[in-house]
This record gives sequence, C-alpha cells and structure tokens, in this order.
Amino acid sequence: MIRLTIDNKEVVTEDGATILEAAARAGIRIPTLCYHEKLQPFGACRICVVEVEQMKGRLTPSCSTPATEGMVVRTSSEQIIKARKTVLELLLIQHPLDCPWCDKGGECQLQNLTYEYGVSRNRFKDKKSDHPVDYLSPLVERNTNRCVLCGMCVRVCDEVVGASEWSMVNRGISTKIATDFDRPLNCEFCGECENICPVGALTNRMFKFKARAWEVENVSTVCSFCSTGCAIKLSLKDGRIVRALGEEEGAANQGSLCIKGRFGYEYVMSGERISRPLVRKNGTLTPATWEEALQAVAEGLKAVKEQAGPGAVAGLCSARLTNEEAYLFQKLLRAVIGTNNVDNSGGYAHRGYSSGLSLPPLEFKDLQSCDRFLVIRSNVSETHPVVGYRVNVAVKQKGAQLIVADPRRIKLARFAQTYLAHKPGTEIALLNGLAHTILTEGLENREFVAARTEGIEELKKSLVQFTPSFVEQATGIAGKDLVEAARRFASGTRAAIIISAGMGFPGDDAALARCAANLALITGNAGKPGAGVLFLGEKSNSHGSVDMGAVPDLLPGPQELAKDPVRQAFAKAWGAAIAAEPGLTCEQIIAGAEQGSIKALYCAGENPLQAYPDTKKTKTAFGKLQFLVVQELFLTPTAQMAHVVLPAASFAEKDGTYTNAEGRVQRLHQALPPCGETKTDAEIFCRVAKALGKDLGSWNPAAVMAEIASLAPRYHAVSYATLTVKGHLLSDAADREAPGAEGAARFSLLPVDVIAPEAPSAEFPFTLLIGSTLFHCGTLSTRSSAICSVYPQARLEINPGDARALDIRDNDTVQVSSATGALTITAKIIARQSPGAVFIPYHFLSPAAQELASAAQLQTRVKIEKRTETSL
Amino acid sequence: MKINRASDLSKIKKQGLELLSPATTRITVGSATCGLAKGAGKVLEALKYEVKKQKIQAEVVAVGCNGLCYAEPIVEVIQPGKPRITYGPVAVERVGELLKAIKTGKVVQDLALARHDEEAYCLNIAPLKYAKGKVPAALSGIKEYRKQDFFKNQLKLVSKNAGTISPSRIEEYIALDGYKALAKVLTEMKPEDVIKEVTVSKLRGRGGAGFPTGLKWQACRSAAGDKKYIVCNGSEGDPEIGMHRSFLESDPQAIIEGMAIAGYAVGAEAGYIYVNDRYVVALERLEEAIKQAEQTGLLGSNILGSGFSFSLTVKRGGGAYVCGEETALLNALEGLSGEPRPRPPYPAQQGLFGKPTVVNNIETLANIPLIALHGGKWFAKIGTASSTGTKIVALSGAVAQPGWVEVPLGTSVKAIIETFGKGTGTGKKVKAFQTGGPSGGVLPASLLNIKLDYDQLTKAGSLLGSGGLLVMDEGTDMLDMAKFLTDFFAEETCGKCSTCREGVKRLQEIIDSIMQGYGTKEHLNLVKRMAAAMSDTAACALGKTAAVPFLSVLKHFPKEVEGKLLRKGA
Ligand SMILES: Cc1cc2nc3c(=O)[nH]c(=O)nc-3n(C[C@H](O)[C@H](O)[C@H](O)COP(=O)(O)O)c2cc1C
Ligand code: SF4
Ligand code: SF4
Ligand code: SF4
Ligand code: FES
Repeated sequence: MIRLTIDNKEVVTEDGATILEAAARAGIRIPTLCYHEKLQPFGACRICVVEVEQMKGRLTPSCSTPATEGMVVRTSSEQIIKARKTVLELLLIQHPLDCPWCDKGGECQLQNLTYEYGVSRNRFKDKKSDHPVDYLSPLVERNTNRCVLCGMCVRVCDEVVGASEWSMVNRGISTKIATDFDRPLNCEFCGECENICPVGALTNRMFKFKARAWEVENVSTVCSFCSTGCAIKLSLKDGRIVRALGEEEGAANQGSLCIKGRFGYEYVMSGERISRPLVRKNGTLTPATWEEALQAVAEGLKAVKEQAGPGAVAGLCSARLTNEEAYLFQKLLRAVIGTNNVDNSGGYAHRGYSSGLSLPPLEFKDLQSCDRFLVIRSNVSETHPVVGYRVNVAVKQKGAQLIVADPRRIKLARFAQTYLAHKPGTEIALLNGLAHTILTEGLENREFVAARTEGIEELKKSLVQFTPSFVEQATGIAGKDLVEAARRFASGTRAAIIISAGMGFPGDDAALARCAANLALITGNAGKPGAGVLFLGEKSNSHGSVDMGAVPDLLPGPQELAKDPVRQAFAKAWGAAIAAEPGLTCEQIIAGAEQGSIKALYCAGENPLQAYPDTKKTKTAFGKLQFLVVQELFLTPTAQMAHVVLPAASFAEKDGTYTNAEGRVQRLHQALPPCGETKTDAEIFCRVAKALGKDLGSWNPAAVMAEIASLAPRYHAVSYATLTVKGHLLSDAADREAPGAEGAARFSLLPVDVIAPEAPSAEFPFTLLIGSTLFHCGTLSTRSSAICSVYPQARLEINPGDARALDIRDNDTVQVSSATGALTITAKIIARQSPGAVFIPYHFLSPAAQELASAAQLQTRVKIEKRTETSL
Repeated sequence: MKINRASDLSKIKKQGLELLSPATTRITVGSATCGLAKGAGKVLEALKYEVKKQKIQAEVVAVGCNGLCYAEPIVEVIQPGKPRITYGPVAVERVGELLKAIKTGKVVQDLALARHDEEAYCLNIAPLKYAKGKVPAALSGIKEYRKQDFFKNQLKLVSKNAGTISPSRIEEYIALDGYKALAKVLTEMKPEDVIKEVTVSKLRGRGGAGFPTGLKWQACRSAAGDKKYIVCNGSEGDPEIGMHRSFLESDPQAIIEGMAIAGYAVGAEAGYIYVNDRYVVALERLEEAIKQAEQTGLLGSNILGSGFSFSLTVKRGGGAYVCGEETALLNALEGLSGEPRPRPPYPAQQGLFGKPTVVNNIETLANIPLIALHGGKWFAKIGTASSTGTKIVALSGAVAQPGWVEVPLGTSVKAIIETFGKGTGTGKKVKAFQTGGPSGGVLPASLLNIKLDYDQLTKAGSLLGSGGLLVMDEGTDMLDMAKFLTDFFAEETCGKCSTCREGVKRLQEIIDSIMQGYGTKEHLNLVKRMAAAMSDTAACALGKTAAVPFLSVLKHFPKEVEGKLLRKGA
C-alpha cells in the first residue's frame, strides 16, 4: 500500500497504481484522452499532466506515472490548466469541428474537454484535415480527420481482441491510424475500436444518424447470444433500439463485446418476427387469436396425454429462455403434463458441466491471473469471444503460457507456445496422455493430491495405457510434443483448462469434463482463483437451463431427479407427483417421434430442424407427430411444421435472468414492449397451463425467481431486490475454495476408453467438423442483417492441399455428401483448416450443415466433389 | 589465442607491441568513414599494392580517425629509430612519392603534418633520442606535434587509440593496456568497488542528459531482477556529427571492455549495442571486434577464469533521431516501434524486456576502462568540479578545420573554435554557436567564453549534450538557422505526443510566416506559450526541447527576428 497526497487529500492506494488511478480512487477526476483501464498506459495525449512536488519544474503524465510513497500531487494549477488548454488548441487546429453531424457528439471526449476548459478560441490556424472517409468498411466508419491519435483503437485491437487490425503508420505530423495498405476493415468486427475511440474518428455505422447521445435512454440487460453473458446497454430512441454498448460495470465483460453482442440485436426488430398466434387450419398456418391458439394447444396436448399417457408428450426448449422461463417450462411438463421428457440443445452438452465436472466454474476475471492455459476442443475466441479476450490479455500482456489443442489452427494457436493439431475427436486420449505423462514423470502436485483428492491409485491404473506412443497413434500428436505440453502445463502455478460445449462441439462432454478435471486436480489446479476447468455452454442460458432442470434427469438446482427426497420436495411445492423415471433426451425424443412413442412435442424457442444433427431424420420424425406446438420469434423450419405457433417476446422485450458460464446470474431488463401480439415465454407457459386447467403461479419473473430460490439451494440468495448490474455469482467463495463438500475433493476416476475415430472410409474420405463461427451463435444471429453483412453464408473451409488435390479453387461450388445427406456449398480455401478435415458452420438454413450429421455418430464423414458447370 | 588467466594478457600485449612498432616499417591509413569519403580506400589499396610489388619491408594497416578530418586521407609512417610522421592529405597520386621516401628514409616535406618525437600520450615507445640532441635536417622542417595547437591542447584519454591502432586487431588494443582494466576489475575488485570508483570519478553521461553514471549503475544493481542488461547507445541521430561512428570505426574494443566492466559492476551477463544501420563500416568493425574478443576469451563464459560471463549482441537500427532516446531505443531493441516509453519506470528499474538495464552512451562506456584502471580520484581531477574528465567535441559549421577533438571539460568554447577550428575560415567573425546538437540553444558570440561544463551550459540555456559544436559566422541569418533546426525536429518527431507532434508543425508555420513577412508580435507570444506547453508535457527530451533553438534565437537575436515582423500599416 502506498500513501500519497493528491490535492491536499490523503490517498492510500495499492502498489503499482498510477497517479491517475490513485486520484480516481480518491474521487478526483483528471482529464484523459488516451487512457483506458483495460489497456497498457500509452502517454500520448498529454492532457492528464499533473504536478508532483518531488519532480519539480516539470509536469508529469498521471496516466503513466506510478504513485510512490509520500508523493505530493496537484491535479490543477495555472501551469497545468494552461498546458491542457494548449494541448486542446493544438488538437483542434485541424480537427474538422463537424460536431453537429458527428455521431460521437455528446459523448466525445474532445468536445467535452474543450467545453470544460473553455477553449473557445484557437490562436493557431491551419486548414482543416481532409482525408477521405472510409465508407467501405462494414459496421465501422473511419473518419481520420477527427482522430486525435490516442492509439486506443490500435491497442484495444491488439492487446485485448488480439486481432491487430489497426496500426499507427507514418511518423510525426503525418502519423495516422491505418489498416494494411489502408484497405477496408477485414477483421472480427467486434467494434471495440469504434467503442473506445474517444472522438468521432471511428463510429458505429448502425448508429449513424440514429440519435444524439443525450437523446437515448439506456436499458441495461444481458447479451442474448453466448454463455459469456456480457452485460450490455441497449440505447433506445423512439421505441427502437439504436445501438448496443458494453456495460463497463459488467463483471463478465468489463465493457467489452464481440460482433454479436454489439451488432447482433437487430433480429429483435426484424420485420420477419411472428407477431400473431398461428393455428393450422386446412393444412395452412392461419393467424388466430390467443384464445383460439391456447385452446388449440390445450386440446392437442390433452388429447395425446389422454390417449397415450403423459410419456407421449415431450418438450424441447431453447437455451436462450430465461431462468424463470426454463423453470416454468419444465414445471409445465413435469407438474402439469406429468412427464420428465424435457430437454434443450444445451442438453446435448449439459452432462459436461452437470455430471462430468466435479469442480466449480471459474470466474472470468481470474483468467487474467492464470499462468497456464490449455484450450482444448474450444475455439473460444469464436464461440465465446469475450472470454477469448481474457486469454489474450493473460498471454499477450501478462506472459501466461498457452497450449492449444485443436485440429484447426484456430486464432489462439497464433499466440500459443505449444500447438497440438490432433486428429478430430481424440481430445480424451490427449487429455489422458497429458495426465499419464505428468504422473509418470512425477510432475503432479503430490501435496494437493494427498490432501485433497481420493483415488489416485485407481486413476493411475486406468491411465496405464495412455503412453506417449499410444497417444501418438490415437491422436497423431508426436510423443515428444505431448511430453513437452505436459511439462509446460504442470510447471504452472495457476492453470485453466478451457472447453466449449454445444451444437458446435458435439459429444463426449461428460467424459471430456472428467478427464479435464483429473488433469486439473493432479496438478493442484483447484480451489484457487483462475485454476480449474472452464466449461463453456453455447448459448446465453445454456448453464441456467440445466440449473433450472430443463433436462430429463435433473430438477431445478440442479438436483438429481433420482433422489427421493428431492422429488418429494418438489412434489410438495408444486402439488403434483413427479415421475421417478428420468425423461427422454433430445435424441431420444426425436427417435421416439419417429417410432411413434412421442406424439406431442412442445418446442419453446428451439429449432431442431436447423440446429440439430440429421435434419432429414428430424423432419421425418416431426412429420409423424400428432401435435407439434412451436413457440418462436420467427417462422423457422420447425415452426413451419407446427400445428400451432405461439409468438414469443425476444430478450429485449422481457425481464428475467440468465446464468452465464461462470455461474453468474444476471438480470435482463425489458427495453421494448413485446412486438405485436407477442407475449413473454413465461406468460405463455402460464397461460397454456391455465388452458390445461392448472395454475403455474405468477409469470412475474421476480416472483418466479423467488420460487426458484426457495427450491434450489444454489439460487437461495438470488433475488430481484438485490441483483445489481454485476449480477450474482452462484457458488460462493467457500464453494470455490474447497471442491467437494467434505474438504477433500472426490477425485473422479477414469472409466473412459479411447474412442477410436472411425477409420477413413474410401467412400467418405474427409472428416466434417461442424461448428460455430465467430460471427454467429446458434441460428438466431442469421436474422441480423448487420452480422450477415460480414458473414452472410456458410462456406466450406478446406485446407489448400486438399483443395488442390480436388482441383477446387476459392469460391468454387462443391457438393458435400455424407451417409446422411448432401448439400452444395461455396468453398473457402484456408490454411488454418487441417488436412483431411473440412469445416462448415452450422448456423444457416441453407446450406444447412446439420443435414450431413447424424446424432448417432460423433464424427461425420463426408466426400467432396467439385460441381462442374454441366452438373449445375 | 584464447586466454583464461589475467596474466596471459601480457603475451598478447607483446604480440601487439610488435605490430605497433615493428622492426620494419608500419604504414597506417586513416580509414574511418571520414577518411574513406576522401579517398582513403584508394590510398590504402595503392599502398598495399605498391608495397607488395616493390617488395618493401613494410606493413600497411587500416586504422581509424585521429580527428584531423580536414586533412584526410591521413597516412602515418612508423620506422624503427625514427619519429612517427603524420601526413595529410595524401592523394592517391602521391603514394609513389611517399613510398620512395620510406624506402630511402626520407620525408615528403609538403605532405608532412607532424612528427612525433615522443609517444607518451599514446604509443608505449621510448622517446626518441636524436644524435647529439639535434633534430636532423630532414625532419627539422616538420613541426613536432607537441608544438602544434591541435595536439598540444587536446587531452586524449578516451580517444588515445583512435587513428593509431588497427580496429580489427585486438592485439594492438591490448598492447596499449587494453583489457588491463577488465582484468583488474575481475581479479581485484568487487562489483560494489567498481561502482564506487565510477561514483567517485563523478563521470556523467555523455549521451545528452549528463546523468551521473555511478548513480545509474547503483540503481540498476539494487533493482530486483533475475536478469540485467547493459545497453550501449550507439544511435547517434544528430546530424553532422558522426563521432560515435568514428569511435566505433577506430577503437571498438574500448566499448566492449567498458561494457564488460559495466556488466560485472551491475550484475548483467548480456549486453546489446545499438548501432545505426547506415554505419556499415562501424558495424563491420564492431562485429569483428566482438568476434575477436570472444576468441580471446574476453567475452563469453567465465572470462579470465573469474566466473563472470558476459556476451554481446549487436543490433542494427533504422537510425531515426528519436531512437537514440533511451526508452525508444529499448523499444527498438525489442522489435517494437521506436517510440519513447513512459518514464518512470526508468530503464535501471525496468528496461530491456522489463529487466533492470543500464543504457550508456558510447563515450561514457569508453571512459570506464580508464576509471577502472586509474581510479575515480584520478579521473575526478580532470575537468571541473562538477564536470569531470574530458569530452570529445565535434566541430562543424563555420570553422576552417572541422573535425573532432578531445579536451578536458572546462575548456572554453572560444578556445576550441580558435585553436582547433582555426576560426570561421570565412574571414567573418563568429556570430553564434550551438552546443549539444539540435536541441541545444543557439548562443551569441558574447558568450564565447563559456566553458564546456554541464551546468554552465544548461544555465545559459543550452546543453553539453553529446558534444556537437556548431559555429555560425556573421553571414548567418538566425531565422534561417531556427528554421533549419525546427525542420529537423519536424522530420524527427515520432508523433506520439500531441504537443510535440502538433507543436513542431506550428513552430514551423510561425517561422514561415515571419519569413514571409506576415509574422506578428502575437506569433512570438504564441511561440513562448507553446514552448512552455511542449516542455511541460512532451514525453521525451526531443519534444521538450524542440522549441529551444527558436526560443534562444528569439532571446539572443530579438532584433533580427522582430525586424522581419509585419509592420503596422504595411
Ligand atoms: C531525442 C533524443 C535523442 C537521443 N539520442 C541519443 C544518441 O544518439 N546517443 C546517445 O548516446 N544518447 C542519446 N540520447 C540520450 C539517451 O536518452 C540517454 O540519455 C543516454 O543514452 C544515456 O547514456 P549516458 O548516461 O551514458 O549519457 C538521446 C535523447 C533524446 C531525448
Ligand atoms: S481513431 Fe479514435 S481511437 Fe483510434 S487513434 Fe484515432 S482517436 Fe484514437
Ligand atoms: S455473444 Fe457472447 S461474447 Fe459476444 S457479446 Fe454476446 S455474450 Fe459477449
Ligand atoms: S516528445 Fe516527441 S519525439 Fe518524444 S515521444 Fe513525444 S512525440 Fe515522440
Ligand atoms: S491520458 Fe495520460 S497521456 Fe493521454
């Protein structure tokens, strides 16, 4: 701790803090133009100068000068004010002063400081800067005439985003920010540069001429895309969202966003939204009143339940429903219909973080203090970009070491000390190989293993076969590289293993999580901040949906359905018996529909026909349903097959909570009234229950959360009355300190064998990797035109060597077929794709990658043919 | 020969002495860039060719520069029993004549600049004793060097080897007591003792800021860090100076030895030398010198069996002026863009790759072996009380004999201009002078008596800087001069700081308007106000001092500037 005096105030601040930070702590504001707490100090604008008694005779920049013991600082004096005024005058000479039509007007730091310091006259004269404005870049407009060369765009893109798209070129007075050869932007389009720009040099094109900053009302809520759960602010004007901003106070994201969060909200206001209920009449979906629609739903469900029993009814919900809605949905199925047949797409992955993982989740902010990362089966920079930023900061700024294991040379591989390009689908063998090497080389944390774990001997026994040579054969990773990676991992003091789950990363979740947990535990990476396993669910509420029991074998909590006392507690609370038998999973529900055992299906926000593997099979199955009700924002392929379509409100049109991947419960605030006649999912569930003659209770989210809190111990402390913008972190500190309730963590054993990847077949020589791209999340983002302006369509990513062998060139149309289906798609030749495997993002309706996949198989094998002109 | 004991140095010394004063003839050609530019390369080749062809018992050696830049190409002849003769300028056409004289033991009178009856200041050769104490007629027409102002008034300590030894032969360096200091330090002194001697010597940095070197070393030694570095700042972006280049081309081993001693003192095992990429000859010689030091066991692991290890790496840089600023230099060494870093942390706390680092100028480092060998007290006696030792001064501008000289600190500017520069050479009187390179103040002739002394010069509004001395005669337009210097900064600002980037541009514009007759009093006030903002806020000394030349012209030559302002009613 350091004591100093600032403007006659005694200030105590932590070691390493700058004068600026110390002053902020004391509530003293010093003007800045090039400082941001997320970035390394730069010291370019010189507006933040202060006087330090010990450094007599000169002013010193407070943003980059560390506070030292006994310093006596003055933050304003005649000399300082004069210097600041001169700085402003100098910056304003060539500045166009086109404030009336600048989108930053009102929140421009240059404008604000000019006003504050009363610089009403400029004694310097020169012509105004006249560089051409870049109108070509999507989403971000660049007008360097307004630039003050603070370098923040360059630094945020490099230090945080890790894209390094911008640089400062030229020297002296000709210095400017530029891309390579000054071409339009070709980057991640996260908009972080535009957002951080203190002036109007970089602006948000979606916001252009939409509103003056002071006219908007900001509503704080949570991004609806991935499970990072970035806190955002939606700016509203005249009842429309005009932009999204990262919430600086947001604990998960500290103000950062990715392209989806910043530019993806448009789907909310899309003209394609369903605004009225639809009921199928004479084979066509026809607009209907809510009464009619609810009546039809009640009749359809009741009929099936009466004829075939409650087990013939099933529900699939979206992992984007709020906690309250997911809770009501499963309650509707369990307590009103009487079935445990409820699942969500997160269910494909939920075993990873519910049953597989014995460790509590990691807090994102702690990732920045890690010194080792193992990123495996996780293109985290694309699936959870803002979590990726944390890894960038730790690795690029703080010197953490990074091991990346991925068949594709993903972005993080560029910064990695060790990159392991393993064969697709062999992550488990790799993890076990690492554990094996660590144990045989004696690199484990013996003390930790002895004190905090059980079952080390059994683990060792089960790992015997995972020798480097065995692993080499299975994964294609050379034994020495494996050993090097193991040593690197084990030599850290705080290591995080990062894994992504969801439709983009099918299968193996529970086993993968368990092996990862083994690796973390033997190296003592548990019970301290930043150490352990981070399992990242795909969507905004993947984690919450599991917590709320929207899965077949868990009740809200999540608590095990199989346990009698648990069931009894819920039965008592809900006033309804709960079947002891776990329900059907997604795959089983679809199989059941195909076989006729499932006759009625309620899809709430879920779109299996676009998102689930094996589209053809799903379609056939759904065709056989006696009754399909779909509750949706859009007339998705699934909705098009429905008997009744119920129009639902979007995330921006409702209150509620999401639980993100670090276990943080965060509050959604309604920004817009529900569009048209849409209602919130919560209200619809309650109304459906009522139509079925039952009472689900209030649909008021606060009341629902109170009910959840009373039944789910982990959520006990969650209350709308106390939730702030920082959210509520579920597992408390004690929980994180001691994995396993009894102090010594239970060491999960390893019942996993190597799943040998299918041998390449002559007919289908390529492995198809189906996954997510940076620009999209699920299928929803394809409804946002801003996002589609940079990534409009799925493309097949193929390695240059493979492409050459098949005589495929960039942008050629190719036919991809598997045992399950076939599609035509544009090829994109890209070096990061490993040979022998191709990649297709799954988000799109057409070409729909999931047509090629099969739920029964982890690996999809395909063949690729060039489409010749004649066959077109 | 690789040695691993200090005592083995004497063997190499012996070899070196044989090379320096051979039983046959030694002919040296001043082949630093200054000489090469005037044809020294051709002279060297011609000499070698002819010596071989005519089977003359002589060795022709390329050496560095001795400061007589105006008289280049310089050739020196050393023959047993005869005084060394310095010739210059020796055009290639006169090589034949020179060789004939050598063969016959004669002297080419009109080319001879000096004879060296005694070499105490330099070569360790016993003073000559002429028969009967009388100088032979053939030599009597040539002035003994001690009688010449150019030699007499210099105190060659740092530059004692320059122009005499071959920069490419470590033996010759060792012959003149090279590496004796390192051997002494490694065998007799603790690191703290070395720092103490440097502190006692009161040596101050020769790179510009004049920071006490002992303090800097102590700070680095006390800073926590698993690794530490010594960085030699060989950047030299100052225009028209070239004395660092000249030094590297003449005596690179001295810097290597200085760095190794610094490394031992502060606890660093690695050093970097940053040299302007365009200094092709210097780089070549420096790299060769490092190789030889390594082969001799004077760099590398376990030097002279002391357990101390030290390695050196040469880094080439783009040569922008601001890259000479120590933190910009560190960025450049790390492969980042050459912009200054915020300070604190100072390099001694967190420098290269975040480790404690000493950044020292070439000349600072070249002083180190002397201090280590002769002691801090000895050094502190040279110069003035607060500015000890000598300084190499590079004379340029309106002087009859441009070049560099080494003088004790405390020597007056006037003496330097008159004794070494031989006046303006234009018949006009000195009007003004500027010390310290481009950021120095332009001072009027009335201040010519000012002494070369860190504090005096600073007080007068200039600085000692790296030792440039630019002379202006009565014919110089001071506004032109201000413009010339301001343009230099406009070229060289890195553009990071708002006040430096914009300020220099505005200064240029104001000077332009005055030159074009649109200047007003208001402009002059503006300059003062802006200069204050620049010196208050700019990150590095470039920006802080960029307005100094113009301000000093305004201060000392106000009439000249005001006379050009727009007159009321005009
Ligand atoms: C713009 C600028 C240019 C500089 N150029 C040089 C240079 O070319 N050589 C040098 O030794 N020091 C230069 N310096 C000074 C260095 O920053 C630093 O003070 C010096 O290398 C420290 O060494 P010393 O203590 O041995 O003098 C420059 C400083 C500034 C501000
Ligand atoms: S564009 Fe904006 S953020 Fe980038 S340097 Fe210019 S003012 Fe700063
Ligand atoms: S998609 Fe994920 S990372 Fe991107 S802004 Fe939304 S929550 Fe954050
Ligand atoms: S003062 Fe000038 S040269 Fe120095 S860092 Fe700032 S802009 Fe660059
Ligand atoms: S905020 Fe400190 S220099 Fe810009």
